[in-house]
Parts: sequence; structure tokens; C-alpha cells
Amino acid sequence: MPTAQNDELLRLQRLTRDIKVVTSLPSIWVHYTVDQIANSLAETLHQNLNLEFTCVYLTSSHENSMKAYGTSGLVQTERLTHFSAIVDASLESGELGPGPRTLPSPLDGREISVFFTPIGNNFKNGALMTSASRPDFPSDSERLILDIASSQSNVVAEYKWAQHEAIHAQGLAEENSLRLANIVLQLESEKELRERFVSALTHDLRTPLTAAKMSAQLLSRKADDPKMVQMLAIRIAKNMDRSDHMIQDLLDANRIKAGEGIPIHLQACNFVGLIRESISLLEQLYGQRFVLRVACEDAVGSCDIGAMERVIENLASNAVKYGTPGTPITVQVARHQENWIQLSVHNEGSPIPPEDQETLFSQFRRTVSADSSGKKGWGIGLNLVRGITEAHGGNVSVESIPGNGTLFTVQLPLNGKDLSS
Amino acid sequence: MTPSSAKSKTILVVEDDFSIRESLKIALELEGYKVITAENGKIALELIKQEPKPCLVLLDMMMPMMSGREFLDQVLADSVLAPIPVFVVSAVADQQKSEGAIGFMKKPADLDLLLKFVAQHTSRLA
Repeated sequence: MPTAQNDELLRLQRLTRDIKVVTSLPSIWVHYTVDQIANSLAETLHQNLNLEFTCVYLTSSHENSMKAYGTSGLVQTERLTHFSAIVDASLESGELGPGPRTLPSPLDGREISVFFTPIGNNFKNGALMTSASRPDFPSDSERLILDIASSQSNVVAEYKWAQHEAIHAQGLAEENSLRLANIVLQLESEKELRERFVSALTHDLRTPLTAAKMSAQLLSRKADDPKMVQMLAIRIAKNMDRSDHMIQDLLDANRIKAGEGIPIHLQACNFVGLIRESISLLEQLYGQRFVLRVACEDAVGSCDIGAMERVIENLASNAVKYGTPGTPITVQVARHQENWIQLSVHNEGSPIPPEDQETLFSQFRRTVSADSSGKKGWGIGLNLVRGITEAHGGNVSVESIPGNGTLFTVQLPLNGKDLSS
Repeated sequence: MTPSSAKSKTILVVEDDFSIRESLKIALELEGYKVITAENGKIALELIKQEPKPCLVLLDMMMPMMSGREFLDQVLADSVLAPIPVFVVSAVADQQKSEGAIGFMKKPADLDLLLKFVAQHTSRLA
């Protein structure tokens, strides 16, 4: 065999070995990035085949577009930008083969042969771009080398995808783990809310039972005092009603939670009389704390009387619970616009923080200040107030400002609409 | 204990529920005790510091402003107030929550039993 042919064969063998060394050592890849491996491959080809420019393009399985991972001989110039734009367009349109294309050199503008070799079986996985200023580029032996390099590049591509998949999978795992942690937090929070609810429910149901039982036991001791007997009898009845209202509240809270409205039964009523009567009953439970201000002659319309009594009771008992002890609780009734009635309940004391005011009317949501007050609540009272008010076609709002106390305002159409369904 | 022998004894009732507080007051006054009342731990703490000191405190646990537990802890931490016996009457009363008290009774409490306990305790002091 002639020496020149021998030299060429040896050169090709060495090159093939180099390419394989660069691309087929998976154990090394662990420590090298895809860019580093692709750069080594481009550099090996560039030096051994005497190329102008070399670039390894790989397709991202997720982005579905080719990206340059390894380059050699390319220097950032204005011409390169132009050259890259042509190559990018070719990659995008798939016009890559079979023969070399003549393009202006990104270095000096002279014509060069640019040849694309598919990575793997087709251009789907990526392309190996090589270019030389020789018109016969690539020769048969160079094509053989480029084929070997491209098949090895496919391994790089697969590795790259595997790495990408791994990162993607890791991202998904982290995302799922975060989601799971959030679900656990949410469940724990719901569990805590339910435990608090049951504890408050137990306490609150026992309170009127205790009051009724004590009053009943006092009856025998004060049997000779008719005034006291009457007062105790009223107190027993009122505390029984209180227990009954709590059970009703519980049932209605479940209705709201299930997405059902609170059923209301409209009856003719005088709102002023209804509020007077409610306050009088509340005084039996909470003492002389209430100041009633009536700012209208009369207010005759229709509403569900029992439901409205619960609205007043909930707002008033909240004012007793969270207002400064011993300070007056002002209940005001006034006309609002032409055919509306406005009821407001005001207590003095620490304001409700603005962030708590937003969730105040949600079920089981008690404000931080309410929780730290030591007074247990079910966290359904204001939810029911809103449910009943809205079932009548009305609305409820809160205003709580430092120094001014807390004011709950209920606005209702004089002739309530049954929106419960 | 008869009303006459209870005459000079003061009991502090700490209870946020008006009906229960008033019922306890009436029942204890019928037995001859002098009764002072507070609707939360904070007011109770002010009252207990005044003279004459109560011979017994009947304490609810869940109250606004200052809970029964906080009240009890402050009483126990004060060398002047610590000797005053505290008896817990609460829906959530148990041994652990009533630690530091001389005893506890769960609501709905039986008035007869409670008065019997108060009588026994105050007669020991007589």
C-alpha cells in the first residue's frame, strides 16, 4: 500500500478512535456537561479534518427545536450572525441534505462548503454541521468519519435527553412533593379547625345547659319568692332556646357548606319591634349592656323573623364576647334609602385587623385576635349572619378602626326577597 | 354550713356567662356568703388584690380578655395571692388544665354538689 494511503488510513483510524474516546465514555459524562462533550467532538473534528467551522446541534425533546451545544472555529462577528441565521433557517425548514451547500463564510464572506450530517438516523435528533473552504468537501473518507461522529453524537444526544428528562423528572418530583406538602398542610389546618370547632361546640353547648340547670336547682331554694321564680323560669326557657339556636346554627352551617342556601320563610314584621324584642331577650342572657337607638318611626316589611333574631343574636353575642367588658354595646336601627332597613351593632375594644376582616364571614374562620382572646367560638356565627342576610337579598359589612371599635352593619330590603333557593 | 356561719366569708365568682354568674351569686348569697363577681380573668385579678381577700375563688376557664388558666398562673406566681384557694368550674375542666387549683367540677355543674363543696371547704377555714 502506498505510504500516502497508509498515512491517510492511520489518520482516519486515529480520528475514529479520538471521536469514540470523546463521545463513548459514559462514566466520564457524569462529570461533564453536554456542552463540554459536544465542544470536544467539534474540536476533534475541526482539527483533524482541517475544517473552517464545526457545530453540534441537538434537538431538545421538550422544546422541539435545535440548539448549538458544541462549536469550533466560530467567532462572534456580524457575518456569523448572518451565517447563523441561514443555518438556523435551514435547520428549521429541514433543508439540510443530502449534499453540501455553498454559503458565505462568516469570517471573510468567501464561499465555503457547508455540510450537514444527521445525528442518529435522521435530522430529527440533531445535526452535525461541518464546513471547509475546499469545493470537494466532504470527501468519501471524510463522509465516513462524519458518519461515525454523527452516530457517536447520537449517544451524546440521547445522554442529553436523558439528562434533560432527569432534570425534568426531578422538577416534577419537587413540584409533586411541594404539592403533597401543601395538601398535608391544608389537611392539618382543616383538622385543627375541626378540633377547635368541636371543642368550642362542646363548651358553648354546655354553657346554656349549665345556666338552665343551675336556674332549675335555684327554683326550689327560692320557691317563696314569686318574682325570683318567674325570673328563673324565664332564664331556663331562654337558655333552652339558646341551645336550640346553637343546634339550628350547626345545621344551617352544614347547609351552607354543602352549597345549599338557608331556607327562609317570609312573614310580615315590624323591624323596630323585632329588634327591641331581641335586645330585651339578650339582656336576660348578657345583662344591661345594650343601648338601643331607633332612628326611624317604623319599619314595616317582611322577613324570616326567627332567622333575623339569629342575625341579631349572633352580632350581639359577638359584641359581648370581643368587646371591652363593661362597655356599652350600641344597636341602631334606621331606614336606608327608600325601601331598605339598616341594622348596626357596635362594640368598643380592640379592632379587627384588616387582613382578618376579609375572612371574617367565612366558615370556621376566626380572627387571630379572636383566637388569642381565650374566648372559644365555633367560627360559624358570622358565616350564618351573611348566609341569612344574603338569603333575604341583603348584605353585611364590617368596619373596625383603632379607637373607634367595631361596627357590623346589615342592610336588608324592607320586603325581603326569598333568595334561599 | 348555715347562712349565719358563712356570713363573713367572701367568695369570688369568675364566670363570663351572665346567667351562670348570676345563678351562682344568688345561690351563694342564699347560703350567707358575700359574693363578688368578675366576667373575665383580668377583672378578677384586680378584685382579688383588693381587701377583704376572698376565702375561695370559683373559676371558669374559657373567658375573653384573660382566660381562667392565665388568671390562675398569675395568682400562683404572686406570694400574697397564692394561698387563696381556687376551684375550677368549667366545661373543659380536667386535672391537667386545673393544675394549681384545689379541685375542679365539669359543667353542667350540679349546684347542690358545688354548694356542698363550698360549705365543706369554707367550714374548714372557720
